[in-house]
Amino acid sequence: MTREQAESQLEAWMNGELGEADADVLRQHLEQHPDLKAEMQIWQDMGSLEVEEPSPALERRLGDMLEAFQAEAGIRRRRSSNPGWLAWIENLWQAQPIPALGMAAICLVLGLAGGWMLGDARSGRDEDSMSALRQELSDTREIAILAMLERPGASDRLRAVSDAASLRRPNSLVRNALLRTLRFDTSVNVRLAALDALQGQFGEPEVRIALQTAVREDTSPLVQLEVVRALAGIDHPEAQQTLEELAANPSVDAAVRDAAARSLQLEL
Amino acid sequence: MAETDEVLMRQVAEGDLEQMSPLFARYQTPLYQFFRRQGLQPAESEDLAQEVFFRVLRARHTYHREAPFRAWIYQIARNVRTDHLRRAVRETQVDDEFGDTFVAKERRMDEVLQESETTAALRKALEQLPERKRELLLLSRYQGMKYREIATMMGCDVNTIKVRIHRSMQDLRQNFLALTERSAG
Repeated sequence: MTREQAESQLEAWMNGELGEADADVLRQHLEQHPDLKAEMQIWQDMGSLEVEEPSPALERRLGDMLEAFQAEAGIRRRRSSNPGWLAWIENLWQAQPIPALGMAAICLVLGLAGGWMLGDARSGRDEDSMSALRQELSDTREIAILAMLERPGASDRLRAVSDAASLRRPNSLVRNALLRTLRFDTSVNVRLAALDALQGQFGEPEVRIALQTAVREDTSPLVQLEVVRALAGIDHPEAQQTLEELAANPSVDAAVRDAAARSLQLEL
Repeated sequence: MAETDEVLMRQVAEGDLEQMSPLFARYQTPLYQFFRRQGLQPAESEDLAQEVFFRVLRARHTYHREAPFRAWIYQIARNVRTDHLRRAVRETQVDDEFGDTFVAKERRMDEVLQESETTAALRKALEQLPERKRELLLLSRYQGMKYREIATMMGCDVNTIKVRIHRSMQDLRQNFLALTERSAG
């Protein structure tokens, strides 16, 4: 076997194209080519570089996300099968470059519908339809928030976060988007706003875990300080442990370290 | 018999979102490990794996009927990682070479102690590779992608991929030798 043939066979082996018998023949031939033999060995040894599996939380998060997408798809289907004034609102959303105008229109519709309901709340059917209407408008708002969080402008994202904060019960997709914003947004202000918007949910396991990661990895001491305050209010051993690690870590910003230490003393 | 990825994704694109569940089950661990092997931390890797599926769902209508799903989802994963690194670079204003800054973050001491010297040297040698070369080897060795799939994903021909993988392996071997000789000497 020439060197070219050996190289070609090695490529085929690495691509999973050789059977065991052919691989044994190749191994024998590679005795004449120590560099290729070493590559074959390294490729095999790479199999020993193990990486752990993701935590079970990932599967739950994916399930929540899928549910949110299914809910969104359901709303769209209902709208397309029953075009009317709801479709008009949707078109308004898509057509208006200024989201505030769309929001104002929705608030107006909500107000009018609310007034109508108060004045004429006679039948259970009316109540059901109003409840469905509220749900649809709430879903539309959440979709708008998600879209705005993807925008390049920090002011748009800030507006989306503050809008998310005003939701009484954001769906899991919005919550996950807020967690992503807290962790990865380039703007300190937006990250701080996302932290504010998550208040009231700090006790949720996913939110707590995200806070613990954020306080370790965020590059802004300002954000870290706020997250320390949030963690200090969580009654969970892992949150406390994170604060202890911060307080004892000399590479952490001094102000953050002190804040973590102070919050632990308050706990005692 | 289990449906292929492509059949499932076509059903998702046509509105049957429930078919994402088997795709989650097949790809969540490989995607998570794809990010982990590139030096990202566990929580970051989970976030990015979720981001990949979020983009898959959001872009489901753009999936081409005959497109190989694995190449498509890994192209999305590469974009997600690039976006993540850009954001992190902007934030930390690190002026090291793109990509390599984020590799080899501190690993847990117990993990390090459990590894043999050879394995540790190999891990280090892989981390020392330039971003593009490392990514190629990861896709081929760990994500089970064939040269043809990688070529489709990267928009080049199979021979180019073969040559690049060959060169990447040469560099990996040299890094590995340098590390093992240094520790022996």
